[in-house]
Amino acid sequence: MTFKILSCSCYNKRTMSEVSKNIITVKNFKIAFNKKTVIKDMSFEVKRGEIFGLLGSNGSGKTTTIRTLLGLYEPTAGELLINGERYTPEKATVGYLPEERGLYKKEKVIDTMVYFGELKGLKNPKEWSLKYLKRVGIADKADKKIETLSTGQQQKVQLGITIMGDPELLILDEPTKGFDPVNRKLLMDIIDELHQKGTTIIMITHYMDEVERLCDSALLLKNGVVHAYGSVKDIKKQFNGMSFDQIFVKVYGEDANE
Amino acid sequence: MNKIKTVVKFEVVRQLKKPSFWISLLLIPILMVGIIGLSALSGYMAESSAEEQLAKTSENVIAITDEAGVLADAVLNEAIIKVDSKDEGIEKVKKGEVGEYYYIPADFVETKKAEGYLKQTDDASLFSASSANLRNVLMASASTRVDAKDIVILTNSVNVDMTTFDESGEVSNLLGKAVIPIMVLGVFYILICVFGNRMLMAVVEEKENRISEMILTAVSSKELIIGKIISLILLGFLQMIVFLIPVLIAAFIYKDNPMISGVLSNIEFNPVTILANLALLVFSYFLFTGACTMVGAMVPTAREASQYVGIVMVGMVLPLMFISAVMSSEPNFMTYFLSYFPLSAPIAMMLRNAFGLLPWYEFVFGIIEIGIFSMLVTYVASKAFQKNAINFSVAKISLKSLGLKK
Repeated sequence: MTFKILSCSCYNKRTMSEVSKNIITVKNFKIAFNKKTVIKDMSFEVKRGEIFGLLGSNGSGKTTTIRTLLGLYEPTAGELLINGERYTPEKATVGYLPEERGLYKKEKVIDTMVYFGELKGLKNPKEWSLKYLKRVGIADKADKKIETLSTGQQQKVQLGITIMGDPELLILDEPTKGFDPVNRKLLMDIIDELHQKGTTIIMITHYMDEVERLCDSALLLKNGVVHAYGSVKDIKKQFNGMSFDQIFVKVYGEDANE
Repeated sequence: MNKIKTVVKFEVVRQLKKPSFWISLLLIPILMVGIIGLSALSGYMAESSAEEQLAKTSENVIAITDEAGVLADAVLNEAIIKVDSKDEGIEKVKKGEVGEYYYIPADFVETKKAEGYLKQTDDASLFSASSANLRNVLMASASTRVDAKDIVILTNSVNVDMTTFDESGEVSNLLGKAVIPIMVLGVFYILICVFGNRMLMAVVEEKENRISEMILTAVSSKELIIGKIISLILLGFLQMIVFLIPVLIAAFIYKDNPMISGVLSNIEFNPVTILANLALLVFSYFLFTGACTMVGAMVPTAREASQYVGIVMVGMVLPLMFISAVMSSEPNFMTYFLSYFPLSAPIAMMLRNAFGLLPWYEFVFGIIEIGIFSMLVTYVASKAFQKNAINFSVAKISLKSLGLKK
């Protein structure tokens, strides 16, 4: 059974004319690889300034959807628009923290951040990077090679690269994966801060407490179609007030048992 | 354009910071300088050891029995004495009364054979120095009887400058013409040996380290791959310059060597020839870069890439395996096949050009062909990279995977 609930919750501090626009519009999106259809039909919108949870079990097509949205894959059918048009890197308005993420291991932290900063058009990438590294407590690692950093420290660098340039839209694919509780809180604070500034955030996560705590709206993807979509409050109402943990188990539990 | 510049800067600077880059960059020139230095040193050592040897042996007395009567009395002195019989001479060597003994038999003029006797020493070069001693004594003896002009003729020390005319009656200067093409061939060969793996690493690195997705939201795959190709070309040029330094040093050290000065003075600095050879080198390097990029674009890791790039390398060096066919003065099917098959064309063309076996029209056609293919391959490689930038498995070769079909 598929629920379609329109989201009405949105939070932002941008101009009123921008508020009225959706930052993301996906219409009748379909994608297949080697005759295997991953997404059968998908339509949704993300309001400017909201935190949007894209949810689904492993292999449900969440990452594929994001990659197609960012122009890394060509859709088989349908439209995926950011600010009303297909995304190209020239626009540099998106910060993307993918699930499969890595860095130039042999390079210094600061050199890598400056490189990404220059690609994103930052005026003073070095200054920005040093300030960020100080903020996340790894300023002393700036001149170290990335391979010498712990996994958590590397993730902080990746997050820094993702949010640099004050992107209009932030896409975080399992951002807290591998973070200890302290760093997870730090990350949440940063996400919250960006949200307060008006940045739109799409979060792919398997931590349902994060969804309930942070997201304004969400979409549950199952078997290549939208299973439920709308504000967090409305989705919970549709599932008789269940928590998102319970909703997740109810929706995807059958798949796990199969 | 700015993003391409940023990619080029990042790629070039990070390569320049790697010790492995400098090792591979300088290894060949250092080896060349080392070999040149060693050869110069051994030449110097040989000269000084001959002088020392002469001084050492001159302290010893040379005894000679001359049954042929070729030795002039004028050369006899305290160091060169005559003995009456072979047995006496040998006995003197054994007793250490003389350093060396030579027996010149009666039929020496016909047979040109003499015998030498000396005591074994630790100095291995003594024997050759001693046989030279007899020759020197005989030369000194002969010079007392003939004119100095005859000595020049008889010592076979005449140098002849040869001039060859080609079919049109012009001076052909084969050696001078070959220098630049041979250098082009050498530089290209070194480039493909040194840069093959580096290119693959540069292309595959983002995929292997899972950076592709992050970087491709900031820069398009097209800009990224163009930036990488440009940086590899710039680094290739750096290698060429570094390679030329020892060549220039060698030319300077050996400028007085008749052979080297002969070659240097005959090098043809014809701008058209130089430009044509440079075009061949640059397009060939483009072709190689494009082919390596294409391999890198289709596979997920450097290890897999290095397996597949073997095919490119074999294709490139194929002309060296069939060198007799390539170098045939009467071109056959194999000559033409290797000269025009895109991968083998660069080295085949360079080889034939270096040895004057490539007519000008084939040379022009070859440059155009390699130029077109280099651009085509680079285009397909860039498309394949765009298509497979986030494909983390080996792509099957098809128009779709090469980015040529949607």
